[in-house]
Amino acid sequence: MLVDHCSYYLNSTWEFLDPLDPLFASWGQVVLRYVSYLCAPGFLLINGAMVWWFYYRRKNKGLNNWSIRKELIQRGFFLILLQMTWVNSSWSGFNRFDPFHLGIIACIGFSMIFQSFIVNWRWELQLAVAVIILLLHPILIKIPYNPGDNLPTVLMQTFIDAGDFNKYPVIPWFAVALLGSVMAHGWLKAWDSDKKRIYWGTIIGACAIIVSILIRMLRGYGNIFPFSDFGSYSFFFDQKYSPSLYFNLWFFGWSVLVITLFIAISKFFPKVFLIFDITGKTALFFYCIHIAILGIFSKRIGIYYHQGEITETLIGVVIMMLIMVPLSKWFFKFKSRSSNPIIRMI
Amino acid sequence: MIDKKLILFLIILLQLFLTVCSDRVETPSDGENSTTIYHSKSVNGIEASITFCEKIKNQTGEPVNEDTIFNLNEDSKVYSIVNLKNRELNTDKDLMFHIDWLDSTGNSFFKKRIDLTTNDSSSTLMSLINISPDRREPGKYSLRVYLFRELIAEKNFELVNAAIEPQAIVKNELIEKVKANITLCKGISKKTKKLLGVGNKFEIKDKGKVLAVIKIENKDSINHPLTFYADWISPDGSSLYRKEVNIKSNEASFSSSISASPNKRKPGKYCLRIYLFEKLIGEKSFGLVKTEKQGKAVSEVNSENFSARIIFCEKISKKTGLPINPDSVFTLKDKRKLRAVIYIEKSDTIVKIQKSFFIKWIGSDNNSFYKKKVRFSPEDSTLKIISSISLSPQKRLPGNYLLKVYYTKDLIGEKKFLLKEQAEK
Repeated sequence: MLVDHCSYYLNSTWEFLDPLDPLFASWGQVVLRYVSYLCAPGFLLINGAMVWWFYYRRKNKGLNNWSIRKELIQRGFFLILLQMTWVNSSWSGFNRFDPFHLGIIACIGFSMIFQSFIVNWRWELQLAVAVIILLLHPILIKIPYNPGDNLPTVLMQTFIDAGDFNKYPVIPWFAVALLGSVMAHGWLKAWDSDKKRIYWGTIIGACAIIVSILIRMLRGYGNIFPFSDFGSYSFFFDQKYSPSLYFNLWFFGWSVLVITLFIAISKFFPKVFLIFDITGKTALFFYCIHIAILGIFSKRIGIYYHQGEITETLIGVVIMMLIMVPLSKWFFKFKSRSSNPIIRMI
Repeated sequence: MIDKKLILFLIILLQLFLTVCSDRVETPSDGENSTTIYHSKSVNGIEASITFCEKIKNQTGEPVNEDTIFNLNEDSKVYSIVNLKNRELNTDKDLMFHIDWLDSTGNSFFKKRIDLTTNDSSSTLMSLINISPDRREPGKYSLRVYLFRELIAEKNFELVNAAIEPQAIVKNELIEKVKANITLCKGISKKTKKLLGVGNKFEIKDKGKVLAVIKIENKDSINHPLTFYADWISPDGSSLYRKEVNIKSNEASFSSSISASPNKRKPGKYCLRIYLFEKLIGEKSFGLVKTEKQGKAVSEVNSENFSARIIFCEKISKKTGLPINPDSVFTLKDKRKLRAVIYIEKSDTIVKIQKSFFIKWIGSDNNSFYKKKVRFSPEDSTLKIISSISLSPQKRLPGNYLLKVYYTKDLIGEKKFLLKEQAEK
């Protein structure tokens, strides 16, 4: 995510790159963009898992379903509000207040609200709902609408399609969040050892990838962009906004495999991911602040805005990590001491 | 044991990312038309060559005024024509192309996506930009062609400001130096490019014309676009047609013509004068005379070399590409399509030239409701065109329809079909 956002501000490719239909000048630029494709599925997957964890932790404390649901809905609305205020404005370095469009944070918020109603269902049922949504979305995306009409655009792009109003429609990403909830059942309950988590994580991730490859190879249902041949880079570049069935399954599989890899590495080298541990605990803070910093210094003040290439982007990533890790550490301590409900929600 | 299998499985999956490969070679080479080509790694892979021009002929789709240097002018355009090689070997899957126009700073200012489906036999792509001075700056531009998001061809062109004229001293030098050599003729052979009927006496007849080919002497030493005027003078001394001609720095000739039809011209002594900066640099007189027999002009288009066989159907086999259940009567119904499979049959003597065909769908009201131009590159061996129309009752009325196929302006095949209403349930 940080790599992609540094690229968005510092990399000259983004001067004219159309994220909905991207063309790249070099392989380096392809890789720079493609690594970030893992982020949104990863966010939604982990968010779905966290909602599951939140629900059962509260449940074990004796809270009833509606009071837990109320908390999740509050969090969901908070995220939508945060998107429309802070996040939207921070992209421009607070140069303009632009509340009337949505993004990934709002999408997570909506997913959280929807998930609060079914997080207590059996994992098999949640899986069935997720699969049905993923299978139906390619049909829903064909619903015609005129992007010039406000209400149909808002409704379609909030839930189904992607465009200027919202690149992250709720319905397909909610399905990924549900898959996260299902995975959480395994990671945090059913699989009681790291060995089992690694084993099942590998199996599930690999199966999702294989199914996605089959869908892609059939070139029909679940594909949006055509591709040349298996293994060519057009094979991997299907539509992200809004995601095709292939895209969702492919990146769900890789997200699960990466998480499994993290579990495996942490088992043998526990200190390797300490740097990510602190940023992971303050993920929303990290997201909101790093965009604001980049927005103010790069876009608004004009420091290296769209002037660099790959190297400058990577230098930007290192500089941002040097800024963000201590800031996140500080915020984590501050948050731990704070009783303010908004601070605790971030 | 299971762990080892899992690790092996993971390695195979990771290999997927590592083996991601490009369809194209990394180092480009100069190809046809000075196009920079990123060749396909496959022998049968698609290759592209790019041509820029000012206009495209409506009937034939041929480029007019091919060049790589263009004057910034109001309402002027630059067309790019991308000819695809090996298109006929790649009809098994949809092809996704992007045409990307880049300005002098290397930034993309216009991008167009073109998907060629398996039903579409086109082997050329076209895109155009407006080059009016208020939209574009002078400078070096380029066009990139991507196939499946991979760069396959690139070509540069230049936009120059025609408004910047040489200084007055240079003007006088140019007028002294540059002379116009005028040759008058009836026309130019499309095949041989030779001038037909060169002379200074021409017959007044239907579809007759006088064509002037003007060669600018000593133009080679002037590396600057120039604006000339061709002024056609009638027997009474008045100007009957004045044409402004902008020629590029690398050009040294241009042409202009007038009609010699009986309803437009009278017999008499005419004259053509060529001006540069309003100074006469060349002149030639010619006579128009009456003819007793005004025979019909012979078409130079050799359309008898082609004939079109048309088959109508609703579906085409994906495996064989052949029409399924051919018919000439179809029922109007939502979400259904009528497809025409047109086989162009040609004589063996045809030389390898770019061939353009024109399809006209004519409705029950005898008006054309859909036209399509299809061009084949010289390398295309099988000439097959597929065109389709909707059978939705909202778009079509019941009645007799007609499909006509033309080679340039000449009809080479036609076939009727009937659309009827769906029987009520």
